[in-house]
Amino acid sequence: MTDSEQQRHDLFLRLYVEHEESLRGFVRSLVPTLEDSREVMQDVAAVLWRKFEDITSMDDFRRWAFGVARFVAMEFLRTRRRDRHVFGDEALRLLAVSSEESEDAFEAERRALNDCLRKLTEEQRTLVEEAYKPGVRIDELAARAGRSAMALYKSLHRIRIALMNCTQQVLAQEERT
Amino acid sequence: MRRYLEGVASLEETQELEALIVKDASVRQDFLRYTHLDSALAGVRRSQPSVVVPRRSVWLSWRPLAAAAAGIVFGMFCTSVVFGFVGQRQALKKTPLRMMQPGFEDARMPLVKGFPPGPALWTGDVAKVVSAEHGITPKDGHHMLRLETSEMGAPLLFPRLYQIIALPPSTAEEREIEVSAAFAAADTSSTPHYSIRVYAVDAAPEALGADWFASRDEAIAMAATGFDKTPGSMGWQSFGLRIQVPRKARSLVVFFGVKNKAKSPAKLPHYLDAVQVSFIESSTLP
Repeated sequence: MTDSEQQRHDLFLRLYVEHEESLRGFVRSLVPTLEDSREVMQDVAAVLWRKFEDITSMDDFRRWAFGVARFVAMEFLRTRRRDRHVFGDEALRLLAVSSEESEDAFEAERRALNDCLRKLTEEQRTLVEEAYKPGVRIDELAARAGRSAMALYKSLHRIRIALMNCTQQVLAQEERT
Repeated sequence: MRRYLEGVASLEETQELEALIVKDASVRQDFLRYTHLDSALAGVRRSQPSVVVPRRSVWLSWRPLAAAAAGIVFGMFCTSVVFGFVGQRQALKKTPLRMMQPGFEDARMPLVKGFPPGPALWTGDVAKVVSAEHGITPKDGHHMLRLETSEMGAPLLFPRLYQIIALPPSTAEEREIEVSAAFAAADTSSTPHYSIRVYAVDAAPEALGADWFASRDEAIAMAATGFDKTPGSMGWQSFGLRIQVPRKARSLVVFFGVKNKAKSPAKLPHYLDAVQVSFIESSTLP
């Protein structure tokens, strides 16, 4: 690799890493499952790198990357519409706009999440860790835990809602101090 | 919302949620907060044990050169099932690399001779996409690749195929990639050596020149495995390998070859099918 290629690669990685979590959250809002979002992100990363030389100003990286992610996700959904119920283009467009507009708020919530995770009980934390392992199926996890899949889904939903409330409280506290 | 994000919502539930998202900005915002949290929790799982690693720390902890020496090889083969079982306490998640041309179902696909000029393109020696012939039926789908054993009347002792895969960027120090394929011989009495080799390269696919294979020792990680067909054996021989690919790698060169015995070169062709290249993630079961 030449020095200029290495520099370009390094610059890309720095920008990509800086925005990766935002992009993941954005893509997650566009596709129905976490596994789908992992698959789409794989393509997003490849397309971003392939097209990186097209970008003229690094200040535009975030907007450009969100545009690419939206395009890739919509392509993905077009192939899935035959076998799964997914949102239409207008809903996806509005989600994309809102996601970009609120990105700073989501970034703050991700930071606050760190504190909130420590407030979970051991049982809740273990459930989150197990449920978010790549490739884990909730029905199989439920069978191992001796619970129904529905019960596990609801437990996870309650934990997520609790975490959302917690992050809001943490951020409100930060504002007050 | 929960059911949609688990992929189990009915058409009516999806339409109801969609209508709310379009009409009500607060619902849209709640939906986005929920999905961003969901994504972040998956990220927390990636950076266990207890904290979300700040993005800056991830960047600063990048050790590109240290990863270069980390090519760990797993070679294995069997005749029917590839990698069906790894360990009693490990579950495997395989994610096919979407940026490669995996199969031979497009019978008109171009097959350029020599080393690939770019990614996601099969190239190599004399080969052709065919359907069932010589008593061999495709392992996957309706087509397979026929590797000729002669070219213009001269025996071709080492027919081979290449493909370059552009690797997506990764924040992981290393990624484990599995490459597997199935070979078959029309001549059941032949005793070729089938081989798979994989090279991780820190250059972009387009930077690998036509003579790259001659300097393949410069790859930052490499893995190889092979299979000796025994005389009289019939059908497909499936085998594969795993390679630990350092983060620095930007391309993966996969090589599939047949080495015919010079003293008794096969007169009938060999076949290749069911090529799979996947990211491997393992998780320990409780």
